[in-house]
Amino acid sequence: MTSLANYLIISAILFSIGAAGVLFRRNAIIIFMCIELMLNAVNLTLIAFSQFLGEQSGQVLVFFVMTVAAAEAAVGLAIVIAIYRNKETVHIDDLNLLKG
Amino acid sequence: MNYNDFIAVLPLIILAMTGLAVMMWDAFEKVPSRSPLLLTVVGGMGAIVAAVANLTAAPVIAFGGLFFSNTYTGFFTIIFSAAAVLSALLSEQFLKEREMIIGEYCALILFSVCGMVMMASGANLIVTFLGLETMSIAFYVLAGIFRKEESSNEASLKYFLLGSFATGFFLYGIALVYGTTGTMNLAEIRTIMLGLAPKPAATYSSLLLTLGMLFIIVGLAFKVSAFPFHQWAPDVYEGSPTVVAGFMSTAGKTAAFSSFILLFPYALLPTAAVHLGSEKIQIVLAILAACSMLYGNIVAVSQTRIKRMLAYSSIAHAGYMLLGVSALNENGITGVAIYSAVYILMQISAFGIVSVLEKSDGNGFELEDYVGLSKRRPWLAFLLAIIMLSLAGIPPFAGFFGKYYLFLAAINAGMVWLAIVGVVSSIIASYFYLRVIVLMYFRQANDQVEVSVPEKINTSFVAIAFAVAALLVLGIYPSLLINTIGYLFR
Amino acid sequence: MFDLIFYIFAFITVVGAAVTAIHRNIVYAAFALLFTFVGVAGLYVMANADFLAVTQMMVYVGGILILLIFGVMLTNRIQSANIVVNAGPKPVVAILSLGLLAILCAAFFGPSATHSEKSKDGKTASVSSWSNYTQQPWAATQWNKDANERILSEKFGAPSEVKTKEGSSGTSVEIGKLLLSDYLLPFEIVSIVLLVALIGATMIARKEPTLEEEALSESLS
Repeated sequence: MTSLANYLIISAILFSIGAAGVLFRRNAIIIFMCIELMLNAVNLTLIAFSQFLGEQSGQVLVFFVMTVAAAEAAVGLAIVIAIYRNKETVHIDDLNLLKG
Repeated sequence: MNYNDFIAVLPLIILAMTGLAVMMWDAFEKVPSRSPLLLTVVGGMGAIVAAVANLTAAPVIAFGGLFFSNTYTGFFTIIFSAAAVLSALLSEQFLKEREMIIGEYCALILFSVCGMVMMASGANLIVTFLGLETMSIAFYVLAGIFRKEESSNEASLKYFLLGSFATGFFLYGIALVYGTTGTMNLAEIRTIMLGLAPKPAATYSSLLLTLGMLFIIVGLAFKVSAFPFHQWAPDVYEGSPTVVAGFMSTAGKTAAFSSFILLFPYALLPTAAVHLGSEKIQIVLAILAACSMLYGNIVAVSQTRIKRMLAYSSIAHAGYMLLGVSALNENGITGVAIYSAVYILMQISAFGIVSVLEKSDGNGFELEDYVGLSKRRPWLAFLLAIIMLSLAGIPPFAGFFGKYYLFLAAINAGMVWLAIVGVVSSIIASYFYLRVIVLMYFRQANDQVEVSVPEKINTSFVAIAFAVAALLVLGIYPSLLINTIGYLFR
Repeated sequence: MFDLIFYIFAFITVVGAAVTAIHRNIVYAAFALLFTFVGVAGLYVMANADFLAVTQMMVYVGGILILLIFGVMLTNRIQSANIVVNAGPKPVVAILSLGLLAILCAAFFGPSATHSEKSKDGKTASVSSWSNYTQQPWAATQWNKDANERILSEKFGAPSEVKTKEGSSGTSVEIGKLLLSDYLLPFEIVSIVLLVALIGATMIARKEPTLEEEALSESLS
């Protein structure tokens, strides 16, 4: 049976995988991919709730989240390219100029 | 929507339009000049004037429940715009010495203030989220504005990755709150939380709602760099250009606090909320506040670089303001407002002085560089001493009254232990703030010839002197600010 | 049939996400991400969010993913071994993320545990919210218009115009109306977000003009 709970569980799994990926991985671009997974999980939750509540404002937020995700992707890529020009690496372990 | 709606968002329109004007000006200007900074100052002033004019208008929720326009949002609009004006003045010399293109810099500062205003006035979680993102994206770029310097690149990347990660949590929180309450309108959420409106019984679950609130707290705690989510702050503030760090650590943090207040004491956790987990969430906020205060101040003691020291102390200041939020009462909100204004003045001018003293090659950040400053730059040393005393919360200066109100709020809320933790951590903090004064005034520089450099009266100096004068006036006549805020927040 | 399709999309989504998060080769990770995005778009369709499903395909698959792959290509020279990254096991991370998942799933359907809910008049009514939660009508509700409306009209009164229009007729019309009426302000604000991203990305990533180019532009102006 497809129900709200199914959607919520899938989005929870997606969100946890994304969060784990952000903490696990060491490549800036892959970390960003995992952040996109988290945002997708959020969108799925919003759409499920919105559909169940019969109220569209959740879907409007999803639309804005997608826009913002695209904006973030552009800025993130620009930062990665700038850093690569200077150091030729995108591994955040190699970026130890500032101690973390 | 009608005429009044547009009046309500007038400060926002002025800021955005000035940002556009700066970009256009920059595009058609043949020789790089300082006019973008001038435009920024004018735009910031314009937004302040518009916000002041709005203070007298009747409070409204403009655009059909999307945008608060009342004295609370007016106050925060004024202090964010003032922070933009101050940092535009401070960056004039700084950017000129480093031959930076200032057009984009000014536009990003103005757009980030737009985001902050939206955060302080968002009456709907969608507007709050978009405000947060406008501000954050502008900050990611501003942190990396020295794109040929590795430290600036890294600060930007670190801030970007951790900031987006936090955004994910914030959004998941919004989604759960939306699902359980059935609305994103803060006023409607408030009535549901007060038990005045029916919950959507089909999807309501107090556990999910509590989880949603916790996720929102995680997201915002990242933005204010409260204790377990603070790792990015010292690195980012140290790596990014000093004037940008000053702006991010003041206006950015207080913006996050302004939406903390709207989301928690106003919408999600009003007094007498019928929600089950209210007390637990209050305890979570209080623990975050206590840990931030202690951790920030204790680690700041061991720092040898002034920017890192200021960064760690900003974690502690976030703790003080979080203490005001966790009190969840009127005094707490007033305290956060007072402290926001005072903190912006103190921290922006502290970073301003650091930016004046730092050398173009990126040196001059060690605390040792401040030894004997009173002989070399007597005026700057004097101003920095006042700022340090104020940051430490020594009575005649403005910082003291801010803290006093926050601790009072915690005691009123029945959290005496939290106030005690606050006082203890303030005592720890006074050690490293006073150490700067000792270094400047009571230690002799060994190798340097002590020549007093006459102070050039440039915009940075004027801005710092203005901020310090404001700190002194507010310190001597605290009733000025307190009565104003009392009047505004009545 | 409906359920089967749902589970197929769910499977694609979760497997794609897992591969993205753990695969050592960044190009494969990007490719797996494609499957996740498509799977999520499928789930949107199953939830009657047709407009967003299309937007998902266009923005995520057509935009963000391409951008990410550009990023991979621009920052990794083919001959360098830089393209493979180490994903060492970190127990703390594993515990943290599994804990997150456990808490979330527990919240969605957990064992019965009694929570007391304060009612408005101050009395404490004991409600078993955990078990109650799983027994809610929605826990086994098909996505269909009738069930939604039955519940909604029970809770909120008669369905409004917006609610009657949703369902198989699609959501584009409603979302379009909302974006240009109720949510006009955020719609305008988003333009600021995009402008910031545009300015920021060009400013950070653009090439520094070389001396010759500077001399050329000076001689032209």
